[in-house]
Amino acid sequence: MSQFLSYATPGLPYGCVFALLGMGLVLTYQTSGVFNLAFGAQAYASALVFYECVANGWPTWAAFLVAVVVGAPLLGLVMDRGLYRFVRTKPVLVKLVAALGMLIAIPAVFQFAFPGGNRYNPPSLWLSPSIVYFHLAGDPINGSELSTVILTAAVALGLSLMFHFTQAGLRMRAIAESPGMVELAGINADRVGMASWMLSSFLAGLAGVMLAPVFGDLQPLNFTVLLVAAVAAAAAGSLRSLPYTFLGGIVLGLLEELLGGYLPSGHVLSSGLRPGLPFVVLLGLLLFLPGLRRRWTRSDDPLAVVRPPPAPLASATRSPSLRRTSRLGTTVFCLAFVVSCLTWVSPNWVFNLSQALALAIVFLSLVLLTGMSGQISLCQAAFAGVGAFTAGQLAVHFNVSILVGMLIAGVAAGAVGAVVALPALRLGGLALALATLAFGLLADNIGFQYGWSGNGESGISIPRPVLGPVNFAGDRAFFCLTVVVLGLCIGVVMAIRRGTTGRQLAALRGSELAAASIGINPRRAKILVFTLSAAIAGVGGAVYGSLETSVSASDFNTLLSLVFVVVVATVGVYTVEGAVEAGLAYVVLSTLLTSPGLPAAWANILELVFGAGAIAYVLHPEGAVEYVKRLVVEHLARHGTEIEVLA
Amino acid sequence: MTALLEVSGVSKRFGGIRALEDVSLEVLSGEAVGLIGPNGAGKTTLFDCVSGVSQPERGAIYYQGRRIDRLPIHRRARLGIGRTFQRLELFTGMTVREHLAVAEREHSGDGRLWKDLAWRGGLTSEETDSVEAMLKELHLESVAESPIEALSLGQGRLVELGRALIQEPALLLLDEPSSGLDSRESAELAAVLNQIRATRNEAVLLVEHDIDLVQAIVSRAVVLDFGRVIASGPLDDVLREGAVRTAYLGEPA
Ligand SMILES: Nc1ncnc2c1ncn2[C@@H]1O[C@H](COP(=O)(O)OP(=O)(O)OP(=O)(O)O)[C@@H](O)[C@H]1O
Ligand SMILES: [Mg+2]
Repeated sequence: MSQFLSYATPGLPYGCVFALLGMGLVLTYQTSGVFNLAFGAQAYASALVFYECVANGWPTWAAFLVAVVVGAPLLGLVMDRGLYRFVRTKPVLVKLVAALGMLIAIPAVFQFAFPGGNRYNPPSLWLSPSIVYFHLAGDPINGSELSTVILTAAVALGLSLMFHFTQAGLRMRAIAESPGMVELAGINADRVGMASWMLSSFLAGLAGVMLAPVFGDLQPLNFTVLLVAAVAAAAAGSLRSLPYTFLGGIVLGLLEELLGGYLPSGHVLSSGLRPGLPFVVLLGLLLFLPGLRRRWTRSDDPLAVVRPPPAPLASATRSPSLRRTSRLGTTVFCLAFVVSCLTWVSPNWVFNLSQALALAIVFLSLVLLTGMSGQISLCQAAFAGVGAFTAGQLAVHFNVSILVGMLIAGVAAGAVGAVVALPALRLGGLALALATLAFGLLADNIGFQYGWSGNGESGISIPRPVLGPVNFAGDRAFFCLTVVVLGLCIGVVMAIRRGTTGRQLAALRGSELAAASIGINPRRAKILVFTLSAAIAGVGGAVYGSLETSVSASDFNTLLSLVFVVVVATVGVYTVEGAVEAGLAYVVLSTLLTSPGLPAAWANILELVFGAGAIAYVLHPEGAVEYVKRLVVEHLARHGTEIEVLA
Repeated sequence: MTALLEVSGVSKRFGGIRALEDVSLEVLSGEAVGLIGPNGAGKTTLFDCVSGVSQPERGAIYYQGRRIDRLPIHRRARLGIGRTFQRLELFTGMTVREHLAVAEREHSGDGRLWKDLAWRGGLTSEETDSVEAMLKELHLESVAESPIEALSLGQGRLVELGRALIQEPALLLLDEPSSGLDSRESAELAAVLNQIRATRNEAVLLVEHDIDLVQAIVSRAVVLDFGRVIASGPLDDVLREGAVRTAYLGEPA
């Protein structure tokens, strides 16, 4: 028992932080319908500001005032007014992309504003972390742990007083408990939404500042991963109950440390499973808590479905001549592109553009999944990783040609995709997104750490292929291979789109009920697409790996999956061209912004651009490219006349 | 001869509301039966139970002698139960022709994944013919290429009808096909339905408030009120019964 206690005690401060974050999540989800994945980023922002203030010699209380009491709610206010209030009534994909955009953009903004290298040993808020105040069950309790617990208890008390006695609090609770009642009762949902964003942002800021000393190193990724623990806590409260969320957070923190105590140290399981625990818990809750499942998959829940996409331009304009011209233009452009890459473009850029096309294959998997079937996956990078590591291991250990390996990579990733899809697709919408997020993090933290898979940070090498007399070792030769594989994958996606499966998916997007009533099996269709999409991502990963010739787990980390979704959504998720354009935009921009001679902080601009792109996405879900094309066509229509544009 | 559809003792509640209470009825193959009753009587709920949209709490449903009340929607559809919806359920973003094409493809069962991948996922010539024939039968040729959002309510109902009919169901459930139509459109609909009845031998279960339309099509009727069957038999007899007149036509007993 005393050992149990001594293992459990260090978990309490973590639990407190999870609880705070979870409550913030529930608060904003209930009042605005946005599942705020950017929560960890907000926590990071406050911790960063706090760090900078203290580093500049401010007293702790002043830094706290600026970073948490004023700064954090201000950030929440800006996010609500600038973005979230517009997405309240939008479909789940839009909400998710908006939040993901913030997740990516916020750390970038703050790193851009406060350039500087690593920030070690963040200051603690109140009591010194290096002083041990007393021992509990044999555990030394230091100042940062003690202050975390005390502050959390104070905040929890304050919140519960607020929710029971103040008008603003009562209104928030009213909204949280029955969103439909709000308009009836004449409460201004907009104002309450704003207040809850400020409050939850304050909670995030507080949690961030308290947690920073525990991490020892101020890194956005640490805070992002926190998010999943918060989500798991919120799930324990069925996304609705604040007290249960609080409890869930605490229990999770304790469990995590207990696992750490009882599992053999040094083993992958303990270094992986411990941080992986929130994901496991989240997956378990999603799959087995029936109330939660019902809540997230209720068909009348506006969050449960992705709205069908606007008709792509090709079908919205009925002008054969325009279509012919645009097809001709595309062909000429593609040819010119390939020819240029084979002749005058510098080897460095050929390599970069091959990267872009390899990524385009992965992005294509999102076009198939999200654009055509309205599902959201936050683990495409993990599927790409499965593909890359499969091809690499086969080549290294069994001497399998990489070309064959790419095919097998597709099959392997597809198989993993099917395994993920089978339970997760019972969920759909937001829950599917969270389940895939959890899976991605598990793959990342555990799956890819073994020697037989991704071999952790050291990674594995993947040779370039040789086909008879043709050697693809050169960058130009490999570029050709990438073009061919991309072409094949595009062919597959287009064949699916115009075939039976594509029609079934279009019908399902239009009305799942009606689709089932003519004999379409919704589950089968969705699992099929999810599997195919994972397979394509796997092929893309294998191509990418072979291009790079060596890859490690961090090349396929979960953050990338999130970035992928945002990038593809901003550029255009409903068309095949969108994937290619997204690949090019992403790689070209990041290459330009990180080219030597530019200030290091400029690298953050890429994230800023796509974060801002997420805002554009909220306004134009068809994506930037389709939007621009439409503008051009409308302009032509005004001056030409023969083109008919459907609204 | 066994019935095509046999509903036996079906009950369904929504919270405290008894939407269906021990409902039994039969439809023989090729027969047109009217299901009538006031608003909230449970007609749509019965359709939902038959087509698989919701599960009855008690009772059993047999179709072609086989128990179907645990099968998912799409399996029942494949067995030959087609339906339309009281609130239109169309595929947003698709044209009229595409609606029929996707239904025809499900019916012909020709959709294998490898065919898609081999770039052979398009409609076969027989399928195209059948889509054209259906467009013609329902007088929808002129709007064949229109997106569904551009259609009138009446045309939307016809598209739903066509989507169900093209699969040649043995049992067709029509849920208030004339609601929201003006009298001219209703008359046209009656003509179309009669023509279909004359040329095919689907059994029809028709929910309809427009008594003229009911009389034009069905010979037998079942009357629901507050979830219970209060009368059934030949249409004219049923309409003469006092209880039916009170419940349905709002006449004093
Ligand atoms: N999903 C549901 N949840 C709660 N109650 C429902 C639901 N569906 C139907 N009901 C209730 O069940 C009863 C029967 O409804 P149903 O729609 O079957 O009636 P109906 O005969 O089709 O009426 P109408 O002529 O208006 O279409 C009604 O009281 C209705 O309010
Ligand atoms: Mg009804």
